Amino acid sequence: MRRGWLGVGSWALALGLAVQVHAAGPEGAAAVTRAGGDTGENPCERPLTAARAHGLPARAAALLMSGQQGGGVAFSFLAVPLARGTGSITLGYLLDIDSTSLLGERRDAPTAVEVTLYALAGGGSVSAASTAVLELEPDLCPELLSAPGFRLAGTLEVPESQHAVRILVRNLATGAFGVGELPRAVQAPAEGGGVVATPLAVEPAVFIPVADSASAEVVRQLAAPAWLEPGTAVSTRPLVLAGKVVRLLLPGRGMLPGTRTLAGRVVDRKGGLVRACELTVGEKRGGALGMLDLWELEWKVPDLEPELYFLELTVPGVLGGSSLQAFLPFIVVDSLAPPAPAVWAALDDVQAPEEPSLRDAYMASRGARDEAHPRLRAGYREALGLAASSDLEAVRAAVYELEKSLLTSGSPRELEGALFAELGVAKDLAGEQPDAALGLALLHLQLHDRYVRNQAFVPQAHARRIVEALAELWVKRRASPEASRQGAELLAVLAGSLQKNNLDASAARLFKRATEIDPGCVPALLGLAAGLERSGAYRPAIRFLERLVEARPDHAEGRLRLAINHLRVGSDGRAEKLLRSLVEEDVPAWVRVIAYQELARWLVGKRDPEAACRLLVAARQRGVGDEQIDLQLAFVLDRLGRLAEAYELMAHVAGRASGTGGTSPRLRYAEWPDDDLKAARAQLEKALPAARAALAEAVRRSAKEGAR
Amino acid sequence: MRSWIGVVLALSAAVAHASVEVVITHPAPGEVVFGEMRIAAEVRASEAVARVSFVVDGRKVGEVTGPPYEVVTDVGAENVEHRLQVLARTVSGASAEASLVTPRIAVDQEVTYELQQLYVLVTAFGKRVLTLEKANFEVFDDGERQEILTFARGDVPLTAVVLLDSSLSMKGPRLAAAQAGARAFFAGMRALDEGALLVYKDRSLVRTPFCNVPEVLLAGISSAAADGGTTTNDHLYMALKLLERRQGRRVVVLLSDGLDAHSVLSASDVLLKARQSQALVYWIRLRKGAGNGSEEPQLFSAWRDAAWYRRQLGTLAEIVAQSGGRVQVVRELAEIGPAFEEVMRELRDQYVLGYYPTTQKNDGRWHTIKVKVTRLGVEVRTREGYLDF
Repeated sequence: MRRGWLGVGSWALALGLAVQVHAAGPEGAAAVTRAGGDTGENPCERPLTAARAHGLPARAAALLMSGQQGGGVAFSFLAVPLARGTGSITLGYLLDIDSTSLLGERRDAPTAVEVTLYALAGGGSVSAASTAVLELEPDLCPELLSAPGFRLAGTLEVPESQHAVRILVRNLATGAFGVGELPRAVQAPAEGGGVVATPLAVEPAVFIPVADSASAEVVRQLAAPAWLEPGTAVSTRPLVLAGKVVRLLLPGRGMLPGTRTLAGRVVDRKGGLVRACELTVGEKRGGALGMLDLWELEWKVPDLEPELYFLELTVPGVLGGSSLQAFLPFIVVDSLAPPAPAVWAALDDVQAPEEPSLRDAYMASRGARDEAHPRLRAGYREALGLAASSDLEAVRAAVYELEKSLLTSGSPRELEGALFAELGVAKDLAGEQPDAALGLALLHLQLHDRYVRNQAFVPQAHARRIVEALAELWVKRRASPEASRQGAELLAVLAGSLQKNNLDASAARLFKRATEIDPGCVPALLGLAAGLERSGAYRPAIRFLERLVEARPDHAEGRLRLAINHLRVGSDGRAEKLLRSLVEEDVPAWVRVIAYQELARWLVGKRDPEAACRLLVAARQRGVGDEQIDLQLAFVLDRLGRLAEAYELMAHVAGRASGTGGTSPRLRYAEWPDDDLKAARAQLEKALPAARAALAEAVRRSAKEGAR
Repeated sequence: MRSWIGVVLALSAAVAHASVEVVITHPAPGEVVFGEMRIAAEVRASEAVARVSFVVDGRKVGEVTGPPYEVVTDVGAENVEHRLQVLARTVSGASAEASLVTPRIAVDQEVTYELQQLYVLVTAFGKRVLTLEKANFEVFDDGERQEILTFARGDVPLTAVVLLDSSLSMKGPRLAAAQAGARAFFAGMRALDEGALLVYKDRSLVRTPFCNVPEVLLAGISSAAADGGTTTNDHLYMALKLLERRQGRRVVVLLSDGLDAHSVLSASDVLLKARQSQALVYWIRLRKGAGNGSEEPQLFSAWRDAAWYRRQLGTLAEIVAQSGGRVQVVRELAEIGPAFEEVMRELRDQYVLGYYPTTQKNDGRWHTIKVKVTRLGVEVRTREGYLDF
């Protein structure tokens, strides 16, 4: 019977090595990758566009099949067998690409990068291939230049046999390329299974913003691809200090056969033996990575000169199968630096989850909540206790000081602990008085504003999460249309604040959630549409704007944005109707000016400058005074060949006094919509006195309970 | 530009799960085309592209099999509409087509440029050649040799509009350096020269009349603060329009990063104006690092997407090239002042040739201009042509 690729009972049919990294050790080990950092944020607010190309570019094929390695573009790479299908294996891969060598002199020009992976079977034939094209626009994401590089995650289907994977990274603008090979990325079943010949390292949690298609409705804040477990990231290039102990993770399945030590060899780039060594086998962690378990190995790095080496490790088969070998590339360095944040691109289809820690916080048991950040929990209770005897400002000030002093690292663990602790207290209080949840949500919303003003980034990140959690709590506890409206507005106001701070993906997620809670939430619909519009997703923007206009037919800004987006996608009839109604009706002056301008531009575009001219003249006669209307009229007169009139008009404009003149209508349009958010906030603050009273009452009752 | 989308048709089709999409990226919608011109397209396909064909007015003018998808073709000098089509086909047979109709120009009989003046810069091995005589030049208008009637060197008076971008992207030392550059430029004016200053953000901030007194021109410059949006296209149009009735050499010196988020006019609209004008356009282009470090403007807004910005920068450069001016890229703030001074020096070193075109018909046609110098090893720069009004 043919042996399965991963059979229970046979040791380590898949095998790999990992360098484990702890926040505080083990001493001497660190995974330096493009991933992670404690913030969990992608430094590039707009994710890279990554599109899968199905063709095999001839030039890429030629380079890959030539057998050469090297080139000018540096990258590092790993692959992990993730799942087994009928006769095939899904290989997950991670690729860290160095921006400096990739972009070279063209550092500020948009560039397309082609990444091609070939799986090569034993005879050198190509058994699987994947090509992705990434668009890099340094102007959109300066971090591409300042950070060490960016990371691409994806998967490749390969047949069940031994494979090497060859990788080509090519800058399509300059032709610069790099080629590398991962030998034995998948081991032949006949030899006992797959081998992961690359290191894996557990690092702090990362949340990866990914747009999985250009037309995605929302640029979503997503967790790592499913095969990168939440809370982990993977290193493609571990750095180690000579003479120090590091912990490796060995991916595999089944039982390690008896032995407590494994023999290893350190080899150089050419495969020459540098040093023999021994590794100690430790604990097993079940199902930690894809379909593999992870075994801990401890290894004292030999005293070696700084250089790239490979650790070759031999693991005996358990059912009489042949031994397996794993290769760990590692770089010995003199000192270790913390990892830089990563810019991510990914090809996997991944689902947009609610934030895992938020979900976990809701699901957490009372015991878990009590254990989370006990100092913050106690201090928070004490600060809220002021609500019974003082005004909300005293509570705000006390919570502000508390959070600022206790939330400092911003690590996922700290933020999660803080969320558990405060949400736990809030749940208790809302149990006494449901309206207390609204009071707390408003309190933390105000604190969020204060943290933003004071650039207190860690408490700000926490405030975002707790406001979101409290809004959800309020909606669930009250379960009324009014509470849904308020909950949605809370999220929309928070999202508006994030949008202004360029946290577009988080803002979009919150706006979207607000529209799910209250489908007619105007500020959320407008904010969402504005975000989509700004990212060029005009059709999705139209969908939200149509909903807005349906809910509020008198909403002038919504109608204007709807008209402009209809023009962009060629729905001229609907656009014209909307614009003509806006120039006729009593709408805000800036909206009317733009309606005239866009209508005139549309008329010129369909080669009717006479109509555009009449329209603009009528606008001026109706007292629509705007410099750009005059300028546009001059341009239209030029188009009509009436050069002298155009000149006189322009000279007249130039002769008028200039000045700051405030914000032009077109700049006003380009700013984030704010009027409805202000109105929503004002509405919410009207509810504050009652919510404060409920909070005070809940605190009093809770204190009494505690005293009993 | 999005409002022109009515004249752009982009179709895509799918065959056996393959999809392909094609968009014409050059010329821009609304742009008038004459003579030799480039047609460029962007093709996105889920599989390899087999070929991309280019058709002008029903006639196939080229085919390419790999990127960049572009051809150069001659559409003739007539002031007529042209229908451009680009057809893409993938290896499995999926196809898509994009088409664009370029407009003709309305002809005006009110203003005619009779005497054509050419401002010609001649260099040899990077150095300006200043010793040429009238007999050394030959001027060809639409291929026909012209008689040079007037000849002068760079001391012909000039009228210049200095355009300073004062948007948010100019914040910090950039604006101060730009203002210092304008001062240096105006300080180099001679007795018969005139200048005007336009400082703008999403609106005009400072507008001065044409005059020869640097103090008047610079009176309001210090009060301009960098904030708000950008309307480079609108103000470049305004500058060209205001120069229309000025005598002598007409020059626009623009200092900007070239981005434009809030103009009501597109760069293609301004290109049309520039072709009608005889003004030289110089663009002192601020690039990343010129005093603003990490505060580079973002290339997307509610009005524009990244592709639009790329077209904007390309068309702006085209305006400059067709006018006979030059783009001076500046990466350090300290280079701004010298860049302005260099523009002034270059203007002084130009030859000014005048002729009455024998081919003039005032029919709105595009005339190509070629200037030859009867000396070996020299390079000649002047505007590429003009619209016959």
